Amino acid sequence: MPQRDGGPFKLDPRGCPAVKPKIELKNVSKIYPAKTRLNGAGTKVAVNPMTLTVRAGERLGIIGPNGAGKSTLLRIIGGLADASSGQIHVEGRVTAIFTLGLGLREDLSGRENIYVDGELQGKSRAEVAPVLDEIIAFADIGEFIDRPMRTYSTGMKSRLAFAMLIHINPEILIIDEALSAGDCLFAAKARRKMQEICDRGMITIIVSHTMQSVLDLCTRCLWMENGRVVMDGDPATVTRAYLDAVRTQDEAALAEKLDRPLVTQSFRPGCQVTRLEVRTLERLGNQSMVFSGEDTDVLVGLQAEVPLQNPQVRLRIVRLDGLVVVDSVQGVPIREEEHGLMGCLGYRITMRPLVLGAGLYRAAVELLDGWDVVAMRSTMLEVVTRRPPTGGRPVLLYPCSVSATPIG
Amino acid sequence: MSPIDSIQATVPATAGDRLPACATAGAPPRGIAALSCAGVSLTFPVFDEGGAWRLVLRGDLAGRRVQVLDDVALSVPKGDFVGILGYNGAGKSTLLRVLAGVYHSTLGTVHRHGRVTGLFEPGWAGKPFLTAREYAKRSLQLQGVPRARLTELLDEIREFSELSADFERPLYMLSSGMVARLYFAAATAQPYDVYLIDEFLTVGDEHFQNKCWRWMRERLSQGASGVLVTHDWTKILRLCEEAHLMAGGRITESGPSEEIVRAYLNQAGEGRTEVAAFCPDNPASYAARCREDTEFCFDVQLGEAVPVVLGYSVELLRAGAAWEILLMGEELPVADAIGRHVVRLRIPRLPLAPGRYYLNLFLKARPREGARERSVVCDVRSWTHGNALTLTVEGPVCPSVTAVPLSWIREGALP
Repeated sequence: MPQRDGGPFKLDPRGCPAVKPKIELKNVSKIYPAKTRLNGAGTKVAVNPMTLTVRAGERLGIIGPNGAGKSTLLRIIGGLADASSGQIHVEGRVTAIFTLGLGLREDLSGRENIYVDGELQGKSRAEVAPVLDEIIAFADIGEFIDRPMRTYSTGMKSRLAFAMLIHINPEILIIDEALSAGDCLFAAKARRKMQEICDRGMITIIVSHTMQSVLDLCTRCLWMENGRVVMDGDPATVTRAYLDAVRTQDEAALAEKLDRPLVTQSFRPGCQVTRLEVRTLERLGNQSMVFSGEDTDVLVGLQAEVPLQNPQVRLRIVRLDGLVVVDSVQGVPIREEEHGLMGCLGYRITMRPLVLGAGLYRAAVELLDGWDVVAMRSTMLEVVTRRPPTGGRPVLLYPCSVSATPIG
Repeated sequence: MSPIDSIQATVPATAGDRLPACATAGAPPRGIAALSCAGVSLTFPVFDEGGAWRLVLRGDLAGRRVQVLDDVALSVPKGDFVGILGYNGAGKSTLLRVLAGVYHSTLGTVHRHGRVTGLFEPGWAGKPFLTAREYAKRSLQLQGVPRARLTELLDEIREFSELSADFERPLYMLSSGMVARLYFAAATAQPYDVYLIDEFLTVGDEHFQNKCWRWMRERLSQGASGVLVTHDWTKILRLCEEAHLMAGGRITESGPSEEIVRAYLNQAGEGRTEVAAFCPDNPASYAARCREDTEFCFDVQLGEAVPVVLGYSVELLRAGAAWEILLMGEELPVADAIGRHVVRLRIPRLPLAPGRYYLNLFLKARPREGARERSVVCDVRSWTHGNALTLTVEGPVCPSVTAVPLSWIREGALP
């Protein structure tokens, strides 16, 4: 049987315990049980037995693909899910975004709910009173603060919940990035506040899909996959290893994820695009995942067994949402004696460096005779960036330079 | 054919003969509207005490009421999506539910032409012990799908949601992303004429979002119409030509989505121009040639001796068809001495297709070494501030949005 001690169930009689927060997990696992129905679905292991210690002052970031067990682990630490086995020892009050909103009374006003939530978090009315105005100012929902909670819109509820969360001096703060409600002004305010908490918070655990926020906010990084900890260390090393692993991931798995990875079509007998390979100079072999900023070549092979009068070859790179990013046509030289293209021909198209922004693309090579496409071959291409720009996702990551000279 | 043309081809109406997306309460919309409402007001009763029983027993309903919608008039032309922006609590979601018929408005009328569906927040509209297949079946039955079509649609849902083996598993075993995908697939399996979408195109990972987006474009090209409520204003720029801004239950502004997004972001006037600013006599527009080395030259005035950095972006914006940031640079050091400086921003072999773009420039002051505070925005030239610079790129017609330099090298016959 799993054991749990400490944690949100232990309340110091003096109100605010002065213990240093600490999380210790020993061989903790989570297995979802077999279903009781007859069409049985079997069991699913969400977290394999794992041991983890988080000490005071650590800011832990958890990364990993969907279904890696990140949320399950957080729920176990937060006391929302029972572990199937192992020992859990949590010292300090856990404040998690997914526990907020629970226990709030729909019939009470926002102001009263701040007190209710404070008591759930182990704070007396006297302790909540000094920060009450701060919470109300941060939530910024106007006169609604004195209206019953059920009159709130979804956005207002999440604003109030977030404001409460961050003003009760969390000891162990768990933030699941998935929760990003609120309009543009509030989102910016919330980001600034989270940075502040990370600077003073005692233990912070963040689940994130953006490597940049892990690099910015965390002192330690955990990489989970299939319910196992793959790597544990400083954020720079782990995020880099994670990205590299994503890159070297089984090509077949990626191919399966992307519909129809490689398509070859011929519209005229004897004409074919025999080769379409994306290569980086660092690694050998065909790649379906490349890094922006690295020197990249596209290798193309063409074959025509019947003469083409006006042969051309075209490279098209189309982003998955339909935006044509690259469309380049190259005339194929005609050999005089044949009055057309016959036989095999190869091209190396160089992109040094690759300037495409992060995203999924379909790269296609077409062999044309005049305006007719006589053969084509396409493949999926995923472009990844190590340090994406913070201000947006540009189509191209293109170099530029700036110089300034003073006047007068 | 450029990609922009192909996207625009899916939006049939042109600027000349467009219907106004918003008709005022007095003037009925001309032409065909897929969905329209006029004079819609909605009030909710407020009980500070007594709780839900008073609602159930319909006792004293004359008490205090809160006005959620106030005289809203809206018209969605056939074949168009209209965007609605607004801060939390503006009444956007409530309006959508009134349009869908979930709530009945206190005053006003709603006209719907064709089959209307609402894609509201992805929820567990079923028991967690249902398998994904059972859930999808229940959802289809609730939508009134005849028994004969169930199998076919269930297969489509299984394929679209990409659940594969997990399709036979109960919902409680699926991750939240999978459930959202299932919900989306089930809700969109059948075609409708009018879609009311509340923050819905943001489910799943990038791959699935792209898929939802393609589905959306396809429905639009087949003549579907709808209303899109989202805080992701980039989606509104890409999908809607017209948009409305809501505040306090009223539509406060209507117009082209570019202007509405600008009003929503409401960023003008921010910034510490006393520290660093663009000089007022800078050019307001630039011209450049495709694939040629390009230099943008402008003056900057520094009022304090702090390190100032430049950020820039080149954006393509055709409301209702496309919005993309094509080029971008951040944290480019400019100067750190008081006075006027000539700044030259150089882009080698400008990789932009011929066309008109916005050039946005940002000046930021960096904190001194070791200081804890972050960079401060000083001055901005951006379309979101209404003062963007325009960039006209000339050159031979280019079928793609970019003109990335590629070099083709002939190689011998390869195996």
